[in-house]
Amino acid sequence: MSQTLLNIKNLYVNYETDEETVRALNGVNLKLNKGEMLGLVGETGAGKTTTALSILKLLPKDIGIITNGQIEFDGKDLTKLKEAELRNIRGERISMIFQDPMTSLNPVLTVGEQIAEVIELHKTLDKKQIESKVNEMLELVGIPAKRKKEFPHQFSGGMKQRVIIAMALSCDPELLIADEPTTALDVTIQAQVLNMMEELKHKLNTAMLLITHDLGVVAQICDKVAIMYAGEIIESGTAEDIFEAKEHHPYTVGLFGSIPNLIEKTNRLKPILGLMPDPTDLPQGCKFHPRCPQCMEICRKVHPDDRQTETHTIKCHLYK
Amino acid sequence: MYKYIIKRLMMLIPVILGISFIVFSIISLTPGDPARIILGNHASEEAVENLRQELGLNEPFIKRYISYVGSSIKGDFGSSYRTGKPVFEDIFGKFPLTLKLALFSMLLATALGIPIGIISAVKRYSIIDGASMIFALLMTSMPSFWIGLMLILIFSIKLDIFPVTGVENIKGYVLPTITLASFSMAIITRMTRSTMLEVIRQDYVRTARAKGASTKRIIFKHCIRNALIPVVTVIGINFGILLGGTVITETVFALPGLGTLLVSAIRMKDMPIVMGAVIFLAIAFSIINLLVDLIYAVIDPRVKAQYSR
Repeated sequence: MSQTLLNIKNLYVNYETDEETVRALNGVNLKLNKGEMLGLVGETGAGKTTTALSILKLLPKDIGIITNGQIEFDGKDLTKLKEAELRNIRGERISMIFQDPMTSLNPVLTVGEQIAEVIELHKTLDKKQIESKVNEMLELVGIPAKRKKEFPHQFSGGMKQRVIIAMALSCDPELLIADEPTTALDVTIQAQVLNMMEELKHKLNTAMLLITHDLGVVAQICDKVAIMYAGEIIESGTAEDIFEAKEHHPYTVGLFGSIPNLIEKTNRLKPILGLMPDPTDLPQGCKFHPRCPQCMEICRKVHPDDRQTETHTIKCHLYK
Repeated sequence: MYKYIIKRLMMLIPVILGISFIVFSIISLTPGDPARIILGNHASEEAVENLRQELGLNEPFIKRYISYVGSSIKGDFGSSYRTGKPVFEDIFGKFPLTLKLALFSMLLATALGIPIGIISAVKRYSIIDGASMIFALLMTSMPSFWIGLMLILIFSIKLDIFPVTGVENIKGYVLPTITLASFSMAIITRMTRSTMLEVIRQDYVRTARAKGASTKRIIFKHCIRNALIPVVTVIGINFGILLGGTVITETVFALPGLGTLLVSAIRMKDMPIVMGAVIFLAIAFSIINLLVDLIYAVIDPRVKAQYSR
């Protein structure tokens, strides 16, 4: 049943400008099975969005460069595909929901036109069929179909996000990448959007890569979790592994310590001290060592390897 | 929408009153006696005084202004001091040439400037981009009389393809049109390039790419409309300038246009012509501005929503 859909192997991405080289991804390994929901968690700047953009090869032109590694999607290496072949995959087999609904829709086209475009590009349907598909998609995300003639500025943020979701789902993709789909929304709308995405996952059996820094969201809907730090996956496993297992990467522990807990009484939050390392000048050894409370001599010198136990993988010298 | 247009047209009234008052003051308060200029240095003092009386130049300034406004509301803008013909006969005699030149050169500038700007932006840092930016820089830095003279030198005198002066046939328009278009074209090219570069970086363009749209489709369907708004402004302003400010080019090519008429009228203190021409240009400029604003509404639904409020 669990068939690998997406397999990212040892992915390195740099952002290269005249002044500096930003090492955004440093050997990312990630596996996603069909119909599964994977939560990719990490601080701002950890490389989550870069991972997502490199899957679709939408990294900023001439600046974002994949220097090493493979992205296998359904057995094919996406990094080796030509632009024309990629266009057939984008929007149809892999689609993406972007972070900011306010700016992700074209202000001069009606929402109907924008949803119709993706259908037009990938399906051979006549005008009438496209229109009825647009209606269907809008109704699916809870927007009355008659509003398709309106422009994005006539919609609220949450409604725009639904339009983007409708757009992303209209070709029944095998993989949906959702880049912080709820960050720009207020809490009540967040819950609606998440419920909707979960429903859709069951209905369409779409695999989902959910990028977020909200662990609560992850706990709520994800089957698997991967935690990113400075361009690496430092811990990954099933939701149970991450939320219930005893052994964790110190960064994961810190991440959980940074969330207010309503049940246990604590006087202070325990934030992770320090900042993410400068990606133009990454530390040697383990990239987390300057902030790690359990830092050892070896951490400063040797880059740790993955330690795998069944489904749970940790990249830390504490565990051998 | 109609309400908006009517509101804008109503706003013309104070604008024209203001402009006419300023121009009237400048002409009246600067030294130089129209009667003396008309009759020449050899006329007797008595004849000049009689003409002053006849033209009403001895009345106080404010009184003259009020009577000018009063008669213009009735449609009488007076007659030229020099030719004695009604003002608008003179203006309408010259305007078609100016309008044609302005229209042709704006069409040329737009038809070349926008595509070149788009190509430069899409192929940023390429040879085409570099070449067109250098070309645009040259066009903005060369004065138009010099471009005109060089064109005459090459195409009229050396190659003998186009006439040196005059617009007897369509050939005569070619060189003046190119001369006038050069500056606007350069500005439009640069403006289109910079707004396109801005638009290409927008999130919705990335969304379109994520949908699997081709580069061509993205540029035509998603970018151009968004990039055109500032370009339309520039086109409108340049068109307005061309209507009134083609004097230098008209002089180089010896064309009897509105600019030449206005400048010679200023020199002769031919008040009715100056006033008539300035008011006419002000109205033309305002209407072009209104058209530009209406084009915004066609391009951008957000602007349209504002107008109908």
